[in-house]
Amino acid sequence: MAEEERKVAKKSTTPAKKTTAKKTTSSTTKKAAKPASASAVPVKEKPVAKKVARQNTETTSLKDKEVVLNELPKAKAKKENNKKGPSFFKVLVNGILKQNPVFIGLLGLCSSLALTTNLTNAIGMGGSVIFVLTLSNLVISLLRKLVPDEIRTPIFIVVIASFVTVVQLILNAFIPDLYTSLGAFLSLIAVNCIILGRAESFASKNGPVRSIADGLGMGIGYTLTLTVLSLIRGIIGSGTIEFFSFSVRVLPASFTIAPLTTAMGAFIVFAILLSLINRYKFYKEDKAKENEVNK
Amino acid sequence: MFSIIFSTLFINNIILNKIIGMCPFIGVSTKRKNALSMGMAVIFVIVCSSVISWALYNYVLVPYELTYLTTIIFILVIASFVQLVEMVVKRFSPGLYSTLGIYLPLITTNCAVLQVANDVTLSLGYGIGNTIVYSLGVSLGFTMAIFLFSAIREQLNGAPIKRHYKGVPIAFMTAFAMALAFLGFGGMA
Repeated sequence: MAEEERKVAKKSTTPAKKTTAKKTTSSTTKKAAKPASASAVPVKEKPVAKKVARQNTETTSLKDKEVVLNELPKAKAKKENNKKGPSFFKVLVNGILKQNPVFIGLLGLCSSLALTTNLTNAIGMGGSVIFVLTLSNLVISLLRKLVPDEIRTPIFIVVIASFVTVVQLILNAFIPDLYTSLGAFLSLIAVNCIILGRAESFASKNGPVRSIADGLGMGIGYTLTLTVLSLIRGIIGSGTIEFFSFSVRVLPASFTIAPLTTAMGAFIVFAILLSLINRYKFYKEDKAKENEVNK
Repeated sequence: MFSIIFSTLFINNIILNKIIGMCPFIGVSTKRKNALSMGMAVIFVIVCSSVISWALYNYVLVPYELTYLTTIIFILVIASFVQLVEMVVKRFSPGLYSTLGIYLPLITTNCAVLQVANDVTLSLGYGIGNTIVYSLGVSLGFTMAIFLFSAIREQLNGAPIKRHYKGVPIAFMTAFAMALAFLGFGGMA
């Protein structure tokens, strides 16, 4: 049924076309006359329009050309690349204060709370994290274009875990005291949220030199945070500063608050430090608002 | 067996006494429902991955003297189990999947999971029965701590707190109070 309808439709259209074709062929003379008259009018109008258009293009030609040139793909890519690149030093400093992984990113809390009982653990852990973070950032950013998107997490984790194994073996061989005191937390560097987080958000999108800067910055920020926490807990909690075999008594034993070296001490010290940082942030915000209002 | 369960739940609670597994403790615990579902997922992951890690360590790594591969193998086992849990949750309860969001794949980086695998094989050297009991105890302790914490945090949302204590600082102060309470169990070892 449908095919018949289509054939009927075809037959109906084809005679119409033929008739129109016939009509056009019969009236070509008339149309030939018409276009001559019709084209006379636009021919007259064109010189006027051309003059107006030329004036407009003369004033805006340079800007238009610039716009057209800047929208070409190569020029756009150049401009975006220039905008994207913070310098090596800026990326480095970024990880120490502005985007401190522990206080502002709240990453890597397990090791920073549990290991800050004495200074040797803190600095040893910080050094290991700097090592693993910079090298894994470098390797991941070198591999970033080869890694398929769906399995990137296991690949990153394997890279990080292999570097952690390297650190474990080195420490076990050269500084066995540190290895025994850090204990299980060395293998927990492999699941440290800092390293996986930076690999995911920075190293997989930026070049190797910047990734090294980012790894160094984050590692130095982490180490500084750990030293501050361990100094506070060590001085107030046990009264001594111990660094490998060098120990200094700062407070007499009766003035110490011993629970600061346990788990709950970690929580309260961290909470007070965070609240101080929040106070500073809000102070700065209030100052900025006051300046705006006074202006 | 009872002593293992009691110690992992109260005396050596993995969050409040050992301070391991803190990241989801702060991140997920704003609502009780999220915390409970996170705890369920963690129970499954810890029990299964610790059993398989124990088997791999004792029957493959130690006999062939490949113990330097411990960390990598454990993490691969954990990562694959977390992927499995994610697929199961996505298939059977998509609402739960959307509420947990990014924290479900973040169980891979949960220090508690790797710590249990390390404890059972390297430091404590349990048999298969004790492994299952220990991992169950640790994960139940984790769930209990995170559920209690989220219940307290829900109540804190409506409390008048100064703005520089709001959010994470007051959460850590409640964690301090909880750890203080759990310190009271310490003499029962």
